[in-house]
Amino acid sequence: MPAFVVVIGMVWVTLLLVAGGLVLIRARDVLQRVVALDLLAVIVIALLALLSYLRGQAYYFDAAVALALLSFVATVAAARYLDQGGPFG
Amino acid sequence: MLALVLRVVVLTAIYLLVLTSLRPGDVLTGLVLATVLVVVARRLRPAEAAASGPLLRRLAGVPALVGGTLVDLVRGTWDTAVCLCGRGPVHGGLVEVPIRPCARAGAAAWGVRVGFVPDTVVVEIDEQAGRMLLHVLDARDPEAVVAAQHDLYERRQRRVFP
Amino acid sequence: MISVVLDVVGGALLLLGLVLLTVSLVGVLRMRGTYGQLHAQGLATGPGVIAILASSIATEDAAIMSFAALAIVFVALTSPVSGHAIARAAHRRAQRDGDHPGEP
Repeated sequence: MPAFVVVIGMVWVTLLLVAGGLVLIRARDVLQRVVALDLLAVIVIALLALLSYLRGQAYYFDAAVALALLSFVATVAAARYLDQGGPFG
Repeated sequence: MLALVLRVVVLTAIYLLVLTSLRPGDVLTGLVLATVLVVVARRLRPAEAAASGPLLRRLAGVPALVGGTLVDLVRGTWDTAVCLCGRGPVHGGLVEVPIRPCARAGAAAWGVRVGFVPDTVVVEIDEQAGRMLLHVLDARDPEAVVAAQHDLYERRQRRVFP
Repeated sequence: MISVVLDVVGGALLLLGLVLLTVSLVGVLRMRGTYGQLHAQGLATGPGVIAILASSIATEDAAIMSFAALAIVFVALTSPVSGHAIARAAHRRAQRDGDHPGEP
């Protein structure tokens, strides 16, 4: 893939990351914060994938897969915790 | 026996994919680890898949399951994107879909297959009572939603995860 | 020749994934109810990130492509589960508190 396409994509994803931070700040409810955090993890996974294409190194995907695993566990744990009625209601 | 060998091969393939190496030592380690895992899992939860039909027929249904889910994914993505670019899910609501009381693998397949498509969100699923609560974009006609979900089950999932 | 075709396909998939991520973010920002936000989020966690990962075919690097395939399988299996966990928490809270988070 031509490098400039990947660079444009990375700039776009970085802007999305900033917008995701805005979503996180604007959230009215703790569940909406969990949704926004899950979305931020997906955006960072996309950023790592683009970085891997740019550098031509597969190692960045290690971080992407690990991040997907961590965000999955974190989201499920937070949702299960809120299910029982946590103090952050 | 074939099912056990298949499980060992798939687990070894995942191990080698994560390592991204094909050296003989790694292959051997992966095979040993996968065999131990499969044997231990069989001891802990015996006879889980005994009632779900012959293995080859189930495997023959896998391409239809994966390909059909991809078709659903494209359609659901388009619907959701159009809906979000408009006024959002104004008619969204909860619909209860009755499912056949089935094994845990079947219920898990229902949940993943339906939840993967963005225009349906699985809210509750109960495999013993045989019901699934969905949130859909357009809940004005619940019977149509139930009929569509049952039709997709018959065509995609039934042969692999009955 | 084949390299150009792969470049075009990869670029198109990348563009599709980026557009889907953007639509999803705008949707999460605009929707008021948790269920509406979950529909919008499903657009990113399902097809959006899969399209971006699938654009790795343009790199023509076996290690990157195999890792991308692994990540696609992983994301496809976990994203419905985390969405379901959030939806169930929202549903149970609504039942407990007596309001309706899904109503816009």
